[in-house]
Amino acid sequence: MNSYFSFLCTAFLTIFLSACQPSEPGKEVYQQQLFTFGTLVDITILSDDSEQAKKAINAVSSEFDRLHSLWHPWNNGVLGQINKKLALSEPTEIITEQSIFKLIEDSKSLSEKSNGLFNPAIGQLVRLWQFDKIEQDDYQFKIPEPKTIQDLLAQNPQMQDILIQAQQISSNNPSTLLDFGAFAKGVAIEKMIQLLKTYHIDNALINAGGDLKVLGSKNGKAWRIGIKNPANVHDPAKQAIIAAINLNDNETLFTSGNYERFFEFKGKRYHHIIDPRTGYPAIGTQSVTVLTQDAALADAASTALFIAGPKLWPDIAKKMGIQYVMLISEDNKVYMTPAMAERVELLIETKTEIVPIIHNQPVKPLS
Amino acid sequence: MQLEKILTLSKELLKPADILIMISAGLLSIWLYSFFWFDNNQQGKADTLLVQFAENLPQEYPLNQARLIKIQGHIGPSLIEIKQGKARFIHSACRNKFCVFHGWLSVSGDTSACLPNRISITLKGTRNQYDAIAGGQ
Repeated sequence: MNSYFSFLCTAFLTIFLSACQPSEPGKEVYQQQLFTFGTLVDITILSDDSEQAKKAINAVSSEFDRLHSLWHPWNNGVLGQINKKLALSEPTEIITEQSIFKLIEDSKSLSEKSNGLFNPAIGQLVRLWQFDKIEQDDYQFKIPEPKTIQDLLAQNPQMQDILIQAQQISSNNPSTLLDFGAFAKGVAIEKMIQLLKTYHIDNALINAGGDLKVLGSKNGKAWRIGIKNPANVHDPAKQAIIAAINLNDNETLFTSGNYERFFEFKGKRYHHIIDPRTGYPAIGTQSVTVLTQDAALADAASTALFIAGPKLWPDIAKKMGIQYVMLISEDNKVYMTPAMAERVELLIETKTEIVPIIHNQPVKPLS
Repeated sequence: MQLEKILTLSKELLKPADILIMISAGLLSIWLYSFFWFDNNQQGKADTLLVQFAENLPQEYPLNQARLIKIQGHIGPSLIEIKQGKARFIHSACRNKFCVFHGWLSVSGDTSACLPNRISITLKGTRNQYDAIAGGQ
């Protein structure tokens, strides 16, 4: 009996366990977490050359640090210096840092396409809310004076007020200050992906605080991403992930959420995404996830669509050329474009509405 | 001919208990197969916690053992709790305690960080894992 039994068991295990062996040896995974760019950046690289992978990670790390200081709106970097001049209504010195001009030009175009909902010129308004002090030890949150907010809104700071002449930057409007908080991360991720390519890295994932872009695949498989359920972020008993999505080469996923940076004050939450129309944190949306191939566009669009809210977002998505959108409203309803609905795998049952982005429909200008 | 021989031998040698064992093994295999390949509830299940200070190598802890981890960070200590397959910051030296308010991490690929203290916690799983979690920390 023993030999037959052994034979049967061996046959059984051979058939069922053979699938556990990988079909071909995969590349090594190199992972590094960095505290940079005001967030936690997670870099995953697949490579069969460990030296090259380490060099690439070091290069990305230094470049993130460099861009963070260059583009910080209030520190002593180039953008900080520009803002100091703008606050004095003076033109800047000659700027040699080309990346600043591109940030401004690209922002102008995206701000226009978003009907002004993406507006990096409202740096003064954003600063009133002092979210930049969120990590300071001695800061006590207070709501800005309504009159101060109204006065700033009345001055209507816009990207179009910013002028570039002979490499000098000035503004037609004393209320404009530049804060690329809703754009810089996307531009930086896009630059890092290009940087990885120069190190011959073809398969990678860069995740900066929950906003990410992928290159290639994970040993032949698509990168699998979970999307946070904004309703359950602070409730451990409930499903933390609302949906899963597989990302292919060069795709990027950006999410703007009301749970990311906020102050709780007298039982009310004040989050960091300021509506340029009201001067207060945008209402109606819990989170917006955008999928495109351009991280800079994804960053600006996720902010603009968050502010647009459950009614206006399809118009803005159309104008900005975004096909893949998932918006979760404050009443926990999931809105998706048909393209997104095809890609995303919802993991919980919830009210869902598929909203086609209607073409050739005029978008009403904002008052 | 050979087959007949085997069948005759099997009848002579197989006892009811042997058959029972074979059936049990078969059922176990079917259950394991479905559990590992088709169980969607296992999606993103994590089994390890990585705790990292600054750019140092992360420390690994199994998620199936409840424990408290005290780690010295940039501005002071952080206290991390592992319980029932989940992990969270329960104290950190920072003022605003965003890491603590973040609450429990429960799926692989999810991360929370105390930025002022330069400490991050990340969940990892061996199968069905997410490569990243979209949405802020």
